[in-house]
Amino acid sequence: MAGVRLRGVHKRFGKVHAVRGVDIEIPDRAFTVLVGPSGCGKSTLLRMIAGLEEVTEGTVEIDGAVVNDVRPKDRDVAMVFQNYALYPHMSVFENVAFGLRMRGTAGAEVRPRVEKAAAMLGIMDLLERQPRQLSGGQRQRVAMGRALVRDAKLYLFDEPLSNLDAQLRDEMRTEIKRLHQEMQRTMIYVTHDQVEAMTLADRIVLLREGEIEQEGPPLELYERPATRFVAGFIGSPAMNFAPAELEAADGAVQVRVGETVLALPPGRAERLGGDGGRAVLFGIRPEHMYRAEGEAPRPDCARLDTTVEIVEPMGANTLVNFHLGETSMLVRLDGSAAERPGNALPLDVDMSRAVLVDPESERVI
Amino acid sequence: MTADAAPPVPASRWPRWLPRERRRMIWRFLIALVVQVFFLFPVYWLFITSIKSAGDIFARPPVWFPGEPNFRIFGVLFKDGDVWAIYNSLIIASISTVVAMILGTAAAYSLARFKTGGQNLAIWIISQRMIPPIVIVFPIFLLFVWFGWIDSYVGLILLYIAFNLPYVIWMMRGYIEDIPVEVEESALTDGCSRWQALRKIVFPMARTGIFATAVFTFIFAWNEFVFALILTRHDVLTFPVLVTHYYGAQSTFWSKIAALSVLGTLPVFFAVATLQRFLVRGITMGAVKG
Repeated sequence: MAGVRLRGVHKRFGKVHAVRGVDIEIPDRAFTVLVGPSGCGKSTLLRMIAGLEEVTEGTVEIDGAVVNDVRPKDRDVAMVFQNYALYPHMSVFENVAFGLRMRGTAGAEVRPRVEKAAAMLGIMDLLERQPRQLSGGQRQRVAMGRALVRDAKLYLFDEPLSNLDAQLRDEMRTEIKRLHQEMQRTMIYVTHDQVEAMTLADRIVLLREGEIEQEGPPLELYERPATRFVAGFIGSPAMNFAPAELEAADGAVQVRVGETVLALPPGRAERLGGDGGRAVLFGIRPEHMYRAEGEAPRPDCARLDTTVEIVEPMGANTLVNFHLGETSMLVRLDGSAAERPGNALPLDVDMSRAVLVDPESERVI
Repeated sequence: MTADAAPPVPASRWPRWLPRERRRMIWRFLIALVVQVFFLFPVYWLFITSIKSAGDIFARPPVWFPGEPNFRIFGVLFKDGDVWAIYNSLIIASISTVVAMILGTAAAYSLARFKTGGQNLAIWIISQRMIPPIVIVFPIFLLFVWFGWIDSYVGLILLYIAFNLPYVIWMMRGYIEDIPVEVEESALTDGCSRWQALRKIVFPMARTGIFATAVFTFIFAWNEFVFALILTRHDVLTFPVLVTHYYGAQSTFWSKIAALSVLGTLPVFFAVATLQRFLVRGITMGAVKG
């Protein structure tokens, strides 16, 4: 078991500067997710921690020791790859046992440990099969078994679920979370899927173009995004954004989107006190708008009269499209909502949870 | 033709009771048989020529199978020491194949995994294979005279290594590139050194390619004629060169040609037959998502 610390880590591939001065501290036993769009450098970071990629500049520490020049075999990390990377000429048992044998585990100890890992992952009846005889989901379980059978300092996952279908992905996600809770090991998990990041992580590191955009517990990134990028990336469906202007009126501050004016609750208005007349991006999550009931809006909410354009029923929820000014917006309503295109839809917009972004710096105000 | 006119049904040349799959199988079998006869007949003719009497070789109409097989000529080849040519070929082709495979696979790994020299080096290497041997035979002859390598094992072995290396590198590079790099990386994180990953993962996965390339390299060296003709005299005559010694202005020893050719075919035949079980495809199936 070990903590990991990256200090000023850079990675260049020729002229491409893939990772640009990343500092991360991952505590012992934490489940950290590196998330971001493709090409943000998250897999490269993971590979540098594993020792599969050289560090151009900066240091990687595992368990307090700098490991920049330590070979992968001597770092004592276990890794699960996106495309499973099973050894095709070995049976499932030999695949899982390979890491133990390579590290000199006593012969008598190998079988019980492989069987224990196989039982955890429900692949006991596959042990004598060859990888080519397995389905995608089974191969992924074997790949996980191969890592989890080891008593490694650090477990690394490089988008392990992205090749699975949606249902299997959900199952495996729960499985991974359960395994982390049982094993209590340091795990670093790379994904481009923010749902995986939110559900699995103790701590999310959101990367963009080789730099950390924001890091923290999942709910902190969801509730208090630091930038427009974070606000848009975390949460599904994504946050709605509309160009707006801040207006000062009677000591209060309100947001004007086109012809519509939305008043900010007193607390927020005070913090933004002198910002009347300033151009902003107004952001609100689809789940932070509610169907209006009664004459007065809910506390901290502003009333918004809209017209339904597109309805997407999803069972538990219904997504409804409408226009605010020039911008198309999405609201998540209860699944029982029977909206029809063209109908009026009055909404209460929770302005205490609205995000205001400075359009130039793209930072949340 | 009107729209509802039914097209004429062609009369079947096959009995109705023969199902379509069976008919298709018979056709395939017949075609396969023709192809087999086309390729195997010369081998058969070679063999029976070696066991025919002198009269039967030139008989018209041809003798398709000799009444009394005559193996005497094989005895003559052994007694006269002509079979040494096959021994020479065996030594030269085997050693040059093994060395070319070791060096070539190492170079191919470097090209495939570390992109050594970029794309250009790989292209340059294979271009060496495209030089017609006759173009460089004279400078090589002078070089060999200078080194004292004419009519020596060392000379031909080194030359065949040099000539086969580009082929080995090119083929092995392709086979190694086909192995997902993650499988190797997985071995590295599982506790293998680079060499262990090669030995335990890459080589077993590239086994098909290694044996296929080795068989072809061996056959190239075995069949090579131009250099062997010019760079040997009598001590290390290889089998293709010795066969030509039986052609003469006055007489041609057809039975000797046939008998030595039969003996010369046997090592290659056994090499391929033995290695055939390794030449199965699909060994990499199941490694990655597919």
